[in-house]
Amino acid sequence: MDTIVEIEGLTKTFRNRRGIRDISLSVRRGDVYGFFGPNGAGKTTVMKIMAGLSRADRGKVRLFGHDVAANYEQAMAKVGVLIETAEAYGYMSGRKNLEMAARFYPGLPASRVDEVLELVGLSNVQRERVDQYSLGMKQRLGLAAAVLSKPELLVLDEPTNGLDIEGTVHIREIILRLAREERTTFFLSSHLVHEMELMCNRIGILHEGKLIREGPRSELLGGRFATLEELFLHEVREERRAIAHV
Amino acid sequence: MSSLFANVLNELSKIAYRKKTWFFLAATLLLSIGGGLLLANAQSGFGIGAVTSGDYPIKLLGLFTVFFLPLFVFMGAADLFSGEQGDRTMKILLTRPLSRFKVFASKQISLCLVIAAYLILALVGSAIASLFLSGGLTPNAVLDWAVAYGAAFVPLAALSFIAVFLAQFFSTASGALTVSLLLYVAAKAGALFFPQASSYSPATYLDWHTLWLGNPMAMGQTLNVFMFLVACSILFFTAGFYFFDKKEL
Repeated sequence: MDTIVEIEGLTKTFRNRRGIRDISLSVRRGDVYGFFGPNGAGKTTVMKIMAGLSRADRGKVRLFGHDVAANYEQAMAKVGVLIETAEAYGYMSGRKNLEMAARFYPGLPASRVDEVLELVGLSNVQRERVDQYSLGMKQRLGLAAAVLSKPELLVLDEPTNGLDIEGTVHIREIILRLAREERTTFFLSSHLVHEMELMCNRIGILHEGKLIREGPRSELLGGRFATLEELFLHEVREERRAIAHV
Repeated sequence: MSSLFANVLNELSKIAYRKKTWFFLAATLLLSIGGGLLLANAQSGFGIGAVTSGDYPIKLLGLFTVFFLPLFVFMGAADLFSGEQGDRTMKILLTRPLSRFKVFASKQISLCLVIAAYLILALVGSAIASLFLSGGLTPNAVLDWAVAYGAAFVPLAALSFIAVFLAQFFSTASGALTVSLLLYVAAKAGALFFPQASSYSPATYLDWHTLWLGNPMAMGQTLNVFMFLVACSILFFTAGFYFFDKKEL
């Protein structure tokens, strides 16, 4: 199985001394990798560095074998991204937003915009201005923009953020469908443990900027823990105990 | 389609979707045609011909390059850079397979293309208005208009490189616009008090097109100013990109 994402020793410290420390992990083709941790753990920081929005103090991110910092265009060629809130040009229609994004992918058929609008359930409002959309509709448009190019890797940061139950289920179904039918690899983050359990086959647990546990979900739970929540609480306690001993 | 060209198209689409773009375009056309009509009316009323049909487009260009177009340039740069950073839509672009250099260059190219479009529109508008003014039109006068409007592009483009550079330091369009305008007014006012220092300010050469109309043309001075404006453009483009490339969103 080939490796799609390789992260090595990723470190970044902000002025407030928070940040991420020495994060290393890899994601293989077909994985739905869940990056799990509480708010402020550093999930978005890692994802921003992966997407080239931010720079690491140390360490490397390689996507499809290309270093993001040195070879951005090649690294991002087969990647779709949705980080933090979905943004779109509010003064344009949802459709126009997608048509503009489609220009960056020369081989993309014109029908692809209709396909993704249908996929996220925005066909009926495609001609409305985005600033008239609800938060959930904007999030779905963000997902449509991320999957537009039929990416082999989707990096989604809290994809169900701000969505109601129906919207959350819809996004989850889309993710699972793409993973199953198109073998899309996912790198997802969430602070919602239930969501991770339903979607991810591999999990990385991030706490205070440090990756404290990582591996296949079944292996991590290993019969000892009934839920990810139990595992997370156990790992955090162990981490604190280890720090106290030092 | 190359990603640079794709984004030039996208940036032009975004500019075209903004209401203020159409307001400025309409104002350009109205000011040039309306100004000509008013002038024609006033001159016939007083029985004088201070501005002839051959002069009008050149006189109007002087006003446009000093007041109207710099305002558009500052606004355009602020919207394309600080504005998009402020409303977080810059992220949309920076997560596509497009290097930061291409993002920066395509935005700058788009701004220059729109400046060219404004100049063409002002030329067309003033040419129409000149038909209402007295004084015969000669082919030479029409050639002078084309040369002057073409030459006016160079200092305005240089000004756009400076505006884009300044926009890198602000995360709201209004902040970038305000500071750019204040610096522009300061540069213009400074030229009155420190004429020697003003030769180092690109804002001084917004009327560069007048050098092209001299008879004989001051080749040496024209070339000097051209080289200065090109040097400023390269310098501010490079510095602007340096800060854009370092941005963390």
